[in-house]
Amino acid sequence: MDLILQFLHNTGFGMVDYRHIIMIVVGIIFIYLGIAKHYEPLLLVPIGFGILIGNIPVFKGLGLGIYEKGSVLNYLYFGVRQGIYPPLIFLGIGAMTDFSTMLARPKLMLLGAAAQVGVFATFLSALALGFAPHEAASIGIIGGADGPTAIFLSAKLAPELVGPIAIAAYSYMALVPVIQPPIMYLLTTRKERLIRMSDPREVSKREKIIFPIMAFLLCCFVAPAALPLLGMLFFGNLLKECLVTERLAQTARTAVIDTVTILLGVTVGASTQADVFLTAKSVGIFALGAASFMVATAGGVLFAKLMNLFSKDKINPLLGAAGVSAVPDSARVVQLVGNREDPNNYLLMHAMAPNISGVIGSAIAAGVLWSFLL
Amino acid sequence: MYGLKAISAGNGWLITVAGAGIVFSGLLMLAGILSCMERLLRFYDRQMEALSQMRRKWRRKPRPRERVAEPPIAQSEPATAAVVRLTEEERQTAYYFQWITKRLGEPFSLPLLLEHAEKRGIARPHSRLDHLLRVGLIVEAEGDARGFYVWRSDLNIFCVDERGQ
Repeated sequence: MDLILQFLHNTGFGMVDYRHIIMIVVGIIFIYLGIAKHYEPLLLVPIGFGILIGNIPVFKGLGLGIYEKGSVLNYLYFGVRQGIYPPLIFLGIGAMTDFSTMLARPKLMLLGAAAQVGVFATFLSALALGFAPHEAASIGIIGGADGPTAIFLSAKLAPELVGPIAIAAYSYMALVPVIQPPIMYLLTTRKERLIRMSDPREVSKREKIIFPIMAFLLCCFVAPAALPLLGMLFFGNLLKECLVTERLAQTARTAVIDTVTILLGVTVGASTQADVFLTAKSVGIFALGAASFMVATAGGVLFAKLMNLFSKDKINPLLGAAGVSAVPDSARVVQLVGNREDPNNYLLMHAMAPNISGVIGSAIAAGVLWSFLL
Repeated sequence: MYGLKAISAGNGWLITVAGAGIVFSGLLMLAGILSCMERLLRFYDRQMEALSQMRRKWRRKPRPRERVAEPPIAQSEPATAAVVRLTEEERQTAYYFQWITKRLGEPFSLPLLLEHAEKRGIARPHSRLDHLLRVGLIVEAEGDARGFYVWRSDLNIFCVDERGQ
């Protein structure tokens, strides 16, 4: 009888407490949002399931938990802790991305730079709320709206916050269609939303091949700490554009990025063990993360309006919202909002320019913060 | 420590101003270089074209005695091969299509070629392929391979500028 009681006591039912239940519900919500609502399913489903994995109550010391040395999950989590997965994701993103809209209209890159105001405003807010500088920088980068970059920087500066920061970053990226439109409507007039963009010029293959090499050299000379992210991003893009390495590009944009997304999603999800995750700090991170997304969106939109004051060729200020680097969701939101005003106004292609420059900008911002706080 | 004191203690103001400045100036520089790149490449092309024209002009003309020594041209050979006039951009596009068909093998199917061209980011592949068909660089294969296409190897490609000169 004692044996049976002891067994029951050692099952998940015996060890569960309310925090595990909360996290399991969160995991199920993530899976629901991914499957039923199609919000970033490639991320939310693995993360959601990872949350379930991480919140099954287990014996400490049995080598099962993600934070226990020698456990399988701990080995997989190594890629997050050491910042290995994010550059590999960037390699795949580079091999998928067509930079031609940005090359055709380089001035739209400034919108991507302006949206990084969210990163630094959140950094200041986090400092003001009592977070240590390295934690504040990791929280601030959520405003870059770039999951891999947020994970990379927090793994370097505040490894204990990787879980909440990654969950916050990906949750808000999934909620871009909910967070951004009210701010876009609030900061623009109908007349501005109706602005049509002229067709971009055609970009030659030669420009597309030169771009990743040149941009890599320039960006990494400016911010060497962004090397792992930008190096892989531009390398992936060179593989795609040079035409002679099609097999490598194909692997990078399919097998590599898919494998790493699975590992990253599951391990980040599993790192949200209730006892580590459900803290006051996590609540602060979520609040600041939401604020940083809003500030970043507003920064991009307002900067587009500012550019219009000095430019003959007017920019639709909605494009500024795509400066947050949630690729391609924020560009899609711009298209959606623009289409509500004028169904024949096609902004998606134009919005990809600030969107992609936002990726580069947030990687530079991460590199800069890392080098300042190292 | 909270509030402004915490920001000052953590060098927040300095990091923010310097960080935002670096991000902005980095992307500004990149945007500046990109906006010049097209013009620089066009300038480079013009220089190369001028250089090759000069080289053609300066090439030593054969002396009369040497002309006598030249073997007579066989009557059966055509005096000149057929010429296709393409702009530099069209020639470059033809090169990309040729590169793809090397992998596909000849004769090749047009829909498959288009699919690969789209995948590799060639802009407006339909109209460009149509142009190559119209100038006769790509022709339909004969016999069993009808419905598939091949490159004509007996054509000389002649580069012209946008005005066709």
